[in-house]
Amino acid sequence: MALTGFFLVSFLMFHLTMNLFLFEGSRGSFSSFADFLGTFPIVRPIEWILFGGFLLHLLLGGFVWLMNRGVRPQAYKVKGTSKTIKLSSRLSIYTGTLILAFLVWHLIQFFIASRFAGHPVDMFVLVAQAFSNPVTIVLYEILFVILGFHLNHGFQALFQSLGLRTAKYRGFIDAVGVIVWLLIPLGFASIPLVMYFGGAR
Amino acid sequence: MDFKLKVWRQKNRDDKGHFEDYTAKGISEAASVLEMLDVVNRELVAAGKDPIAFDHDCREGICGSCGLVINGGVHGPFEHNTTCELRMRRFSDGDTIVLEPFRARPFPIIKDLVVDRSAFDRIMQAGGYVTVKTGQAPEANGIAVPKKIADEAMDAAQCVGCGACAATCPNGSAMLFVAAKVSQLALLPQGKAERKERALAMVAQMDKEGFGSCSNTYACEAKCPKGVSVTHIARLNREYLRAGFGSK
Repeated sequence: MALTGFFLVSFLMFHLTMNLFLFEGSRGSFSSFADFLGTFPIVRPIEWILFGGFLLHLLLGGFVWLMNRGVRPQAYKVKGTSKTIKLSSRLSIYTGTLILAFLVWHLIQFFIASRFAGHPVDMFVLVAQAFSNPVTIVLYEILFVILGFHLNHGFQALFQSLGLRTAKYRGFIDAVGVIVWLLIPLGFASIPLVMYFGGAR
Repeated sequence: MDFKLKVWRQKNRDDKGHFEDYTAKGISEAASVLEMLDVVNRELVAAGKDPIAFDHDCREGICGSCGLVINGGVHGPFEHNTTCELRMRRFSDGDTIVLEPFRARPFPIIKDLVVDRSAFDRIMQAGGYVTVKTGQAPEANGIAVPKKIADEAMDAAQCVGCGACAATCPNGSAMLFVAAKVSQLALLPQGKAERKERALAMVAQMDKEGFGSCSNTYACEAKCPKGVSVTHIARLNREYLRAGFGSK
């Protein structure tokens, strides 16, 4: 979970960096960046590694969740434990599942629509079209809140699992975590809004 | 003080069990939860009924024998105390108090509020020890241990093995217990010699006993009566990785 999680956080950072080019508008670098990724041969195996990373992450997550079911055959009458656990930690399996569901839609919307269109697609136009629909924007904004929740649990947890969240580094990791779980989703969340309200044309 | 009690009663391992209502009257506010149960039991015995079975020994928070889930919290709804240290003054007169046994698959209920925690003993037998030649005690200052290391080892050694971590963990994981023992011994020079075998053997036994996997929710740290930190779990993970991938 930890290693694939780290890999996916790195990918999110890359994805966000790329998306920030959207702010340059239709004549900016975003479309050429997307074209390059879509046509440069070396990107193909990297894409498969990325798919593999996702698959492994969700399979491991599902496996841990399944294994832990039934460890408490009878639930407590008074539910007190949940009060002591961060909401994001309690919900990580559910936020993860929602992110997966979103991802299927997201890939159909952009990846499949551009790669399998049969003709060259201007990625900026595709994105701008998608974010001209307020419903799409609302759904994406909800997703970014969910993503923030998932990262709030996941980022610090990956260091814990790797044995690096020691007494000395606990505070530092949690502080860096804020950048990851707050700023990454905020960065993503700003893009549809800016595009809709005319910040990038 | 007077209390209404809802207590889990279960005749034996195979019994389905149920909650039964009791009243505890005239309880001193200085009494512990266990002493309140003593009063209730005295009345039950006088009435010819089966007393409520519960585990206890030292009654001063150091043996790890007692352990009840009180109003949904292991060792009660407050922090850093064992069940025997929880005084009735923390509750209000007339409160309803729900008493349940620790619940986790590897802790089968023996009777009422008593659970079998021998799974922890078997984990200890798997590697929670230091192999030494018995004989004359060595010179105490022969092996220097820096104060900082000694303090950290002592923090881990505070674990009394009560099982609250596994009982409160949503996954029923015993990681904090195993981490405390592995951490304590890995930090000290006497324990370093067998650190690799220990980490592998204790984790293997933990899995064999049927405890769940840690998903880093830190529920254990929040409710550990001795305040053992989850940074010891990070050390256990490190010890395990080192044992698995490091040079032999």
